[in-house]
Amino acid sequence: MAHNRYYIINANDPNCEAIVDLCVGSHTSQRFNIAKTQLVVKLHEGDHEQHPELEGYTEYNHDEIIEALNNNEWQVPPIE
Amino acid sequence: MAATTLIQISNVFNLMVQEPNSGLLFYKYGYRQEANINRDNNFDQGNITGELFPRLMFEIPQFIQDVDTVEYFGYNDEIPIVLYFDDLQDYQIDGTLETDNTIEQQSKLLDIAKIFMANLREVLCKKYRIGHFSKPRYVPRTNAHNDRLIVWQVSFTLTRLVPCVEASAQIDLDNLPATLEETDLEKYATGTPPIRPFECPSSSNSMLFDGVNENIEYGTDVAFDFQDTSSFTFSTWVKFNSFNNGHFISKYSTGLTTGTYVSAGLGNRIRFDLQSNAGGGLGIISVRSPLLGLVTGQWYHVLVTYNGNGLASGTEMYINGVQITKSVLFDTLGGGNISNTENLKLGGDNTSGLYLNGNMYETRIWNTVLTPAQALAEATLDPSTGLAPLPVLTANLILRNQTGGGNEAIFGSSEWNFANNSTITTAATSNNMEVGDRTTDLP
Repeated sequence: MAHNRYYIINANDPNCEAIVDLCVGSHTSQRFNIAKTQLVVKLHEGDHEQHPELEGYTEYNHDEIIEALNNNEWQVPPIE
Repeated sequence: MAATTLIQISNVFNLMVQEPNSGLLFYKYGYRQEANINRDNNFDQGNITGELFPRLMFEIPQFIQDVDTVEYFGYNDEIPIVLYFDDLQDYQIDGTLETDNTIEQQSKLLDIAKIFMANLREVLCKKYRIGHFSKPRYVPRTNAHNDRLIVWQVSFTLTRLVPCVEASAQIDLDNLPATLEETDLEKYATGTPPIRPFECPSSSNSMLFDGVNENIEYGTDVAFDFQDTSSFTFSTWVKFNSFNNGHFISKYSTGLTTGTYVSAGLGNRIRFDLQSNAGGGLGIISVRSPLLGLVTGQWYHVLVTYNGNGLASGTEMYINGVQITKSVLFDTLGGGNISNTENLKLGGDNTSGLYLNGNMYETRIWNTVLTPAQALAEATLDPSTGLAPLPVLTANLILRNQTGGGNEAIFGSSEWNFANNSTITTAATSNNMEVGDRTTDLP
């Protein structure tokens, strides 16, 4: 089970680049929502710092972020 | 003695680094001199996965301008050579966190360098009779560009003047070619690498995917560009933490609604799709396993096949080696092509946002249909090791991802790099994964 802290941030946040630098992965590997207006990022496991760049954003644990992304804003559901 | 070129010397380094006992994972030709030539790592065509550690770097003598054509001994009977043995702090060779301190790591790297040099001496002096060399000088260095790099600079002189010194052979020299051709490097860069073992042991780790943004992505290779007329088999062990429609094997583009994938979703079912939008109309083959057939937290071996007939009847689905009665959701592919330009992905598909929340272990793909007997054999753990069996068929194996395997999955500076132990050498890199995503959780 992942113990990372997850955040959904705005793609147009002026601190976006700095936030991604704090997080796991690269600028090209991050996952965006379907509209490309937001992206989900996660801090490295064991990073318990309070980063000022993430102030104002909701922190999610693993179960919470799975639930938060389980909708048509973030997924293209399978054809039924 | 035939003329020897520096590129042949480089080829010797390259071949030796690829020997399993060399202790090294990467070789680069040309170092710190912009005029020099950077050669791709032969483990990794196109240098997709990037540099691995520990590695060997060869600094070409500065006075040599055209290393491809210059005869080594045409210039001088004594040529100074400088090699750099590099290792990265923090991680061990298998990607696990480093338990040694920097001094201990440095000491181990020195041992690797000394063994390599002893073997090199034997190779150059006895096997290929290229020349002899002076006693190597080992100097620890720092790297101005990367302060986490541990560096041993080894300098020596290649010469015909000093006698050859015997050395112990840690590397099996019989694995090297009997004669050294000038085109060796090019041959290995474009052909089958000398060491690409289908038979390497199954991994003793699985890879944990978070269902959020983690996956493993292969580079482009025509072998993975499945058509509606292609025959293929997908096989993997998988454990689900939830049934969230995550595509655990996919070559799929949501934007084009084209491709193929295997997922697990609504009703705790495995779903196998082939989709095409050729001609503007959506065509789909979609088959599913029985309703509520699976549970979370349990390992399953999932194997699906497609014989290229364009119909749902051309698919089969096996769970734990048993051919199941599949239900057909759609059977309207109608000859539409499923080809697309997306990369092959394991653990999640970023175009649909559908990611696996669970583990994968030993994923394999063949460009043929496995028989029921072969499917059962694939799902049967090796009783002597408790691990996945070796592939039942190697001739048509186009992907073998030893997901989390100690010997073929290496954590680089920020992501996992995976070799493809099949007839296809296209390697893979993870997205948004960490060292801790390799687990000892096994079927």
